[in-house]
Amino acid sequence: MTGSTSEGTTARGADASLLHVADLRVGFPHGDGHLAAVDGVSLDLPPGGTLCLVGESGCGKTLTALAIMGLLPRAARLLGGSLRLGGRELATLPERERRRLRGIEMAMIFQEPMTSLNPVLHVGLQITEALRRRGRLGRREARERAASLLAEVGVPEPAARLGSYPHELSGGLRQRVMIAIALAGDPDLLVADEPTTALDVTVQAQVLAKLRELRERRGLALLLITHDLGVVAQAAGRVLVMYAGQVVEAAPVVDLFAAPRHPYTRGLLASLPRPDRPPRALAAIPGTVPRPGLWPAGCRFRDRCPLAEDACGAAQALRDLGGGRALRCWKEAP
Amino acid sequence: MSTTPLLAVRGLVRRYPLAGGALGRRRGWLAALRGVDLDLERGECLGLVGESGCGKTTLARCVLALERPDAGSVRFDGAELTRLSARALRPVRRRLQVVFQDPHASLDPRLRVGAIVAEPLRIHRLVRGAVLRRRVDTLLETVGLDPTLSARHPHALSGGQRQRVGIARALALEPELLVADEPVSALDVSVQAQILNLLGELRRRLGLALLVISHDLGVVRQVSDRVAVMYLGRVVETAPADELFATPRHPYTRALLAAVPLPEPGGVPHPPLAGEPPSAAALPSGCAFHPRCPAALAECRRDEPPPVPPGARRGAACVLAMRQESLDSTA
Repeated sequence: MTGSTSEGTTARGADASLLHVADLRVGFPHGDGHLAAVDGVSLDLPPGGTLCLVGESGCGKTLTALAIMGLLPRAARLLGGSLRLGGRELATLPERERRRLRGIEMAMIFQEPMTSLNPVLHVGLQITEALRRRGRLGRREARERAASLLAEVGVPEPAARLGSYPHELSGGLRQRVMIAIALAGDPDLLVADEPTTALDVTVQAQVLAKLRELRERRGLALLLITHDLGVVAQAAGRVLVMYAGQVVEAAPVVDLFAAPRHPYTRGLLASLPRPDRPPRALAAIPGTVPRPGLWPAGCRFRDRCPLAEDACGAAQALRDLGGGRALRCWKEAP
Repeated sequence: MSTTPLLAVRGLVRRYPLAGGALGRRRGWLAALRGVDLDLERGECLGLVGESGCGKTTLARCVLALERPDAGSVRFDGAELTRLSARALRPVRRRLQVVFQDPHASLDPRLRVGAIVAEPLRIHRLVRGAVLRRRVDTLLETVGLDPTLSARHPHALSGGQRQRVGIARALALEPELLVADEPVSALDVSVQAQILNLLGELRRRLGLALLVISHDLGVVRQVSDRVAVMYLGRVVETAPADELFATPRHPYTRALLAAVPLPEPGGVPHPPLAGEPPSAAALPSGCAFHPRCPAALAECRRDEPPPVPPGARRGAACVLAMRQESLDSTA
């Protein structure tokens, strides 16, 4: 790995970043050592900006988000790297401090709100609990603020909804409640992991529009994790394409779709069936997404790449191409 | 049309009692299917699309005779499935097979791949011994798997390989109709395309008819000759796939298409629909779509639009779309 790694994904200097991640490595115990499922990921997110992490299962996008939040599963280990939020290093922060930051500086929403909402508590109680992280609050004021948060995220009849249990709500409303809880501490950073994957397409469009609106109105920075390139295209900002624990391509969203450079990115786009185009033989990527530990040496995509040749067996650096773009492929960016 | 369709569904109704009242009494009914008509020709692929709760999976279960409808008819090659006994269904089941969404859940983890694919042949006592083994090898090759995988267990396979095993098992009895319920939604994008290409190839090679159920409009367009769009237990629009995607007529179909985020920047500035579908336990009066419909008229609140006539080449259950159609035909 060369020193260009962190440079490559940096749109602006680290100073301007709200979130700055450098050479993040996350692994699981394996034999005598660790298997790195996230292997040298660097990223920068300016205040109020949007950054998408896109990739297939096992690419490390969710583990990257969980490492940022300090919510790694028990078996996972932070093997190295730096995580800075607003200039403060998170990796070495005591757990108590990190817990305080979660909620008031950073918050996260997940794919299935049912797993993160408490099923036996009213929605209102769960929001007011989150509001109190910012400080003491009287009962009445807490209720009023909870209702206004629900209104802000587009829940109809917000005051009446405070008394609802999560199971009484539709999937779309539950996700809106999750967003309200995330916003309760007035964070600067919202991490959204597949926030619309479990939703129907018409409801997905509503939730994506709501996230865009909140970002603009509150100046919230959004780290959006998704497997869906369509969802990426709807988000402004920048995108990192991940494969096998690494960033393989970084670009402004508009530029990635205008001119995808990495053979993996191009393969993903070519394999998508589209409702707006007549059917064609889909250019499927051969093989399957390899599991951590089964990654080939050198370029990790080379087993499935139509351009692969012997020289791809050498380790590939993420090279800065200028214009906010970076690429981990020597053939496309010599 | 002179020949009978392979599958003809007429007036299908399925409702579920809602428990939870005092002393476990019914609180009412959940209307999963409210009079569905569908035709599927031999060798044709019909895509069934709609959002969760629209009844598409219930419809598939009724077609597969896994569930009895409360009213209506399901005819497969002329035989009325809703009235056949379990025993009389057996020979029909051979001709009517299914592929499920989640290949993890639908393959027995204790059996090896070879035994999974051989199981239907064994149950129907069709072949044994060396002939059976050769047949399993051929089936695995048909779905693009190396026959040496026979000895593996499902957990040793990737998601895409498992879905191929599920398809090989479904093909073992040489069915005429394959029902595929969300066949690729559990798979990674790069693997989805492999399975979609395989389904297309099998159709061409084996002359299979397909009923593909999916929430993904890209998937439906890719595999279907014809598409039926469902909303709250009814078919609201049906049309040849090219026409449906080029000129959708029902306001719901239009909204569904407009909501899909395309992999190119700049689309979907505004969500095309507000709110979510109402519960099938508390349906609105008139057209069930009227509370969300951007074009609803006063009469839509009152009158339920007539269904698309069975056998129609294309049609929409919407008074506005029907008026537009008659304008178009007189112009």
